Amino acid sequence: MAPRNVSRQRNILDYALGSLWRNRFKNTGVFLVFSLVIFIIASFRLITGSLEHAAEQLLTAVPDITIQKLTAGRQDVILLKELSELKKIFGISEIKPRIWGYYFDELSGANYTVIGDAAFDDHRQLPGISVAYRADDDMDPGVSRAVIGQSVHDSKNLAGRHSFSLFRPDLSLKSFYVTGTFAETTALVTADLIVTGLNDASDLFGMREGEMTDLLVSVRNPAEIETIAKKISERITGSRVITKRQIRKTYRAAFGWRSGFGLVCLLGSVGAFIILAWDKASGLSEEQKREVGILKAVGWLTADVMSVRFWESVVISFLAFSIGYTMAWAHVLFFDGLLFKPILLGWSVLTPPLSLVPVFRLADLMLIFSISVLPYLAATVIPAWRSALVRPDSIV
Amino acid sequence: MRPSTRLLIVVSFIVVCQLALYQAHYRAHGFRQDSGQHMREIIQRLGLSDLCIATDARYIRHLSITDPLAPFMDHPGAIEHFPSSSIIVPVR
Repeated sequence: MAPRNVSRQRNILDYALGSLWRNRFKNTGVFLVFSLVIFIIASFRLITGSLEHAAEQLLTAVPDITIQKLTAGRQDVILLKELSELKKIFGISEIKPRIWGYYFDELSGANYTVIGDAAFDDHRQLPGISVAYRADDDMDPGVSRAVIGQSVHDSKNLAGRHSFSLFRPDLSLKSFYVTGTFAETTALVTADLIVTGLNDASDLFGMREGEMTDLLVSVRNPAEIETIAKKISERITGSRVITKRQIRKTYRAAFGWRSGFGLVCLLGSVGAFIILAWDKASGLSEEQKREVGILKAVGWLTADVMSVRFWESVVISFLAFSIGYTMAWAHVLFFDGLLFKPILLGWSVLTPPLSLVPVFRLADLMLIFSISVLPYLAATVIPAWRSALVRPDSIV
Repeated sequence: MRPSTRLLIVVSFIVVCQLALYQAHYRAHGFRQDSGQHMREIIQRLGLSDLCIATDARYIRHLSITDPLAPFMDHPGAIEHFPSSSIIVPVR
């Protein structure tokens, strides 16, 4: 019984494929639009999924607690003397003062992230980080050292040179000698960085001695991070305390369908499917009616005609889904989301070389499938039923 | 050749393409794992908090430690207008 039924369905599929081929111009249009819509929403989801995955993997190493100071609702400097108050809190293993700021380069229009690290003041290199350092025998001892990101290196056009200068707030120049450049493979976190000593960063930004922008706190027992964060916010008035959990939570929620571009993709796809469904439901052509009439006259049942229409929809929607999803995967993997990159980078002058690796998630696949293929199949049910009800004597 | 056999050939070709893509992805993923360890060292050592995706505005560059009101502080009446933020869900 089963092989006979399979054979029957295969014959119906053959007929449906023949029917699709006879109307190939119209069906090719539907297929291309369908594939394009799937490509766009799948590309969006693969790109954001890739960024979420990278954040999830990399941001395990963020500081346990970051402390900033707010004055009148805006970020302000935090004084080193606050450290003494923090040292009294049991459970803190290390407190690292840091200067973290932005430098807008008026020549190139780029924004750099400048980080002042205390250990760089005392050492010739950044301890604990493997960077290809340059021998600094020819360096003027009075010049500050810096390790820079690849995009900064390109933006400052340093080919052949080992130093560059930035303006202090009073417009005097401060020179930096580039002792090393972060590897391009780490650009996802280092592209726009200029890492220098704490004193040099303080000098560059014209900050007074003992003024910092953040304090980075390490906690011995990870289970106590929230408790210690609460104690810190009570001890330092006006402080903004950000925990590791909050940072990771931000990135878990940062890219999704509720973003402006996500909504455009989603609403665009829904709009496209409404048009497709409208086209399907808008009635049968005379030719289609005639075809159904002849089929029924030669003995086809209503269920057989509905099966033909069903197979037509299945072939179009599943093939379009496969092609669209495969193209989206290739778009992200080989072209790093080339079409969406201008939106991701926005008006950035420094353009980090984003290397996106798509991540397969069954939930995403099912979501895209359920908002594309299922509505299409559902939209074809009523027209298929209506077409199957044509009486042969009304046509033939 | 029956049309359904032709369809089967097309579907098989698509499946082979997908498997090849998945293989390529697997290699890229391995490469990312290698550089990932290096990036985690840098994040831990320098206390970094964010991925460097867009550098046009500071509240996009450092999503997680930026004041949600930052877009409105650029100048009076400034509404958030950077294209890069259109891919980011509004902070609640």
